[in-house]
Amino acid sequence: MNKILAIGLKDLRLVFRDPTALLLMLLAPYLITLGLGFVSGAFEDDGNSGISDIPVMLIDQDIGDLGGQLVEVFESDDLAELIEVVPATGIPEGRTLVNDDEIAALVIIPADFSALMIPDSTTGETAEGEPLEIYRSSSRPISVSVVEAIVSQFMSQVDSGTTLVGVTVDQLVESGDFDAANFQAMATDLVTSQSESEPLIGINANSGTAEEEDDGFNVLSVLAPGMALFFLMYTVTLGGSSILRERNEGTLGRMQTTPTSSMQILGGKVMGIFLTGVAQVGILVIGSSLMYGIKWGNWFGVIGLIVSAALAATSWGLLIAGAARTQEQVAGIGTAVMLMFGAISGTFTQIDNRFINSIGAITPNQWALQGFTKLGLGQSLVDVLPNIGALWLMAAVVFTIAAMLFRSKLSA
Amino acid sequence: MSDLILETTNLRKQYGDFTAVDGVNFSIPRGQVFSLLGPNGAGKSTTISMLSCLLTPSDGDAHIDGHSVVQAADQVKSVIGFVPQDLALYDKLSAKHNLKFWGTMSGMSGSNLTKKIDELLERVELADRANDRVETFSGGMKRRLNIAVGLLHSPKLVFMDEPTVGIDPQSRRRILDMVKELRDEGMSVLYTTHYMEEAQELSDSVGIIDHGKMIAQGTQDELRKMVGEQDTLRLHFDEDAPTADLSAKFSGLPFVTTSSVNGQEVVVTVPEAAAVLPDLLTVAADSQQRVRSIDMEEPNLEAVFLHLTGRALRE
Repeated sequence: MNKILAIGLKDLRLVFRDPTALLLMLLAPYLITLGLGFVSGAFEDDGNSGISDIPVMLIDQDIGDLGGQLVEVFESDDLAELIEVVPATGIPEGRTLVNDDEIAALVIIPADFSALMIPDSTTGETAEGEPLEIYRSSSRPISVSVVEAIVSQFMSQVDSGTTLVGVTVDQLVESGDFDAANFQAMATDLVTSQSESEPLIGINANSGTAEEEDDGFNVLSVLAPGMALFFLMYTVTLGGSSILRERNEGTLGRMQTTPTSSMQILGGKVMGIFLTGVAQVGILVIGSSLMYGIKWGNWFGVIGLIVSAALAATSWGLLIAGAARTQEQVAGIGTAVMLMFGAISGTFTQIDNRFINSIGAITPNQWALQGFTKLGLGQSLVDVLPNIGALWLMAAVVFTIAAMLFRSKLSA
Repeated sequence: MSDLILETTNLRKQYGDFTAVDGVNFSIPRGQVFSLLGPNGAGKSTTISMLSCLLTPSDGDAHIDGHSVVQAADQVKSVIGFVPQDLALYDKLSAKHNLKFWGTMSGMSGSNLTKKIDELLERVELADRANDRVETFSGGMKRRLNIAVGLLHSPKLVFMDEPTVGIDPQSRRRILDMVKELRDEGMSVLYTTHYMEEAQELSDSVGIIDHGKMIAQGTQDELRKMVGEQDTLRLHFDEDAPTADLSAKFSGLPFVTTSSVNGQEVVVTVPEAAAVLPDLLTVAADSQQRVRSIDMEEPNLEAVFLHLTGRALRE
């Protein structure tokens, strides 16, 4: 472990003594975030955090009660400054408004929304299908992500209620008190009470007063993590290429003449890339908090996401270096992957394509960005656990493949 | 414990159809300097790479301090020090940080490592630059630090692969003196070079390698006896002189043992230089070539190499 740590710390020290690397790792994300912040109006001195009055249309066709509750959430006082609910005129009209960039999103609640979410009285199961459609404006990615976060939080709490129904039914059946005739009403009550039991979303809309301004949603809370994660891919590529550079410069060979195993060397290199990634994103998070006043949200969640994102990105950096033969190839492939991951993960703009969004799930950027957005909107560590889990799973799979490639490389 | 720190048995390295090292056998007694002498591409670095467990031999084996390089690489690595031909240092780290890192890789830690680092920095005359980044060092200073890294864990046997390539005479002198000091302290050294003078100055015994084969080995006296009591004459001609033709004409003279070309020099070995020199000058004059200078040398390792291969060492 001593040797692994020594290699890792040595690599960390080398990166932080490389002016070019520092420029791209730290300065570039700050400057781009700053530029995007100005473009988005985040720095305007109007008491506004940069995003407010997001125009949304909701078409509620639900024959049950749940659709109405979702509409109530959007119209609630808590979200009054953040969301502006546009009167519902019709689906075609709503789509036109989105296409014309008049509104950020159209939320279509289908007729069977409640049936899809609440278990059936005879089978105890919910119907299958897409519960909601959100028709998004591609030119308002930040606004759309806020709308999605509100819907996602609502659905998540309804899901919790559904689980509660299942547990309650099991208990009633076991005790012999189950009354199928009253089941539907009971299930609706349980789900409804669960969705009303706690604030539907932890967004603290900016009230414009000096005391409360700090708690407001800041558009930079989405831009800054996006840039940090985008440039994290640069850092891990640089780290991966350091293995090939050490081979070219003879230091890898020299290490192999010491009583240090190939796995210790690889472990040390992984440690170095990981530590550098954590340091980079950590500095960007702390720096952007101090410089731009960004509220990243729950710090346990932030730390969990930084560590997990750095781990997943490290595995990608290793895979790139393992697949390439020369440093030049690593740089070329790494840049291509960095740009591709940035594009398909929604770092630059919201992708309104389900297929591309699905592919985006292979990127650490998407999972981490979603997590940071949740935290920025006031959600907790528990809410980002799925994102953290996905990043660890990604790290395990990609690292296994990379390790196989490197075993042959180090023994060559 | 064997008297030999290193013993190779038919060590061979094959790359496809190319044989880099072809069944090399040699041994080094403890506490001695053994020089592996040969031109560039002769197989010296490949041999050292196999002995330091960087390359796996295609055939044969070597035992270092009783451990097989094929079967017990970890034990071998703990008793050897490796000074590669190309500098293997981190330019952006200080001399001290480099030594600390490489010491940790060799399994050292704590006060032992700190003490050893201070001692070696003194030894290689870099104590006053200990905290400076290596990128600010001269070539000679980097070479000395490169050697210090190989000595950190007080190895029983040090491999030095052409450690004086491309440095100033002062640093070269310091390195040669250091090798002699190490031998005097009981350390064994395997030293590769294509500089005949270095091998002559440092070595207790010498192996001459060419085209991957060990063509001769022994003490310097033993090797010199192979060419008899031959003198070497170096005749230096003008830049446009047809040295190949001149060498061929010299070969035809009685009493000339060998004749070869080394750039604008024709190198001739003869039993007695003074007796043959007038004839050589006559041939040159008849060919209308001016001899710019003449060097006369007693029998040495260069002559041995010339005698064995028909080529000068640095051709």
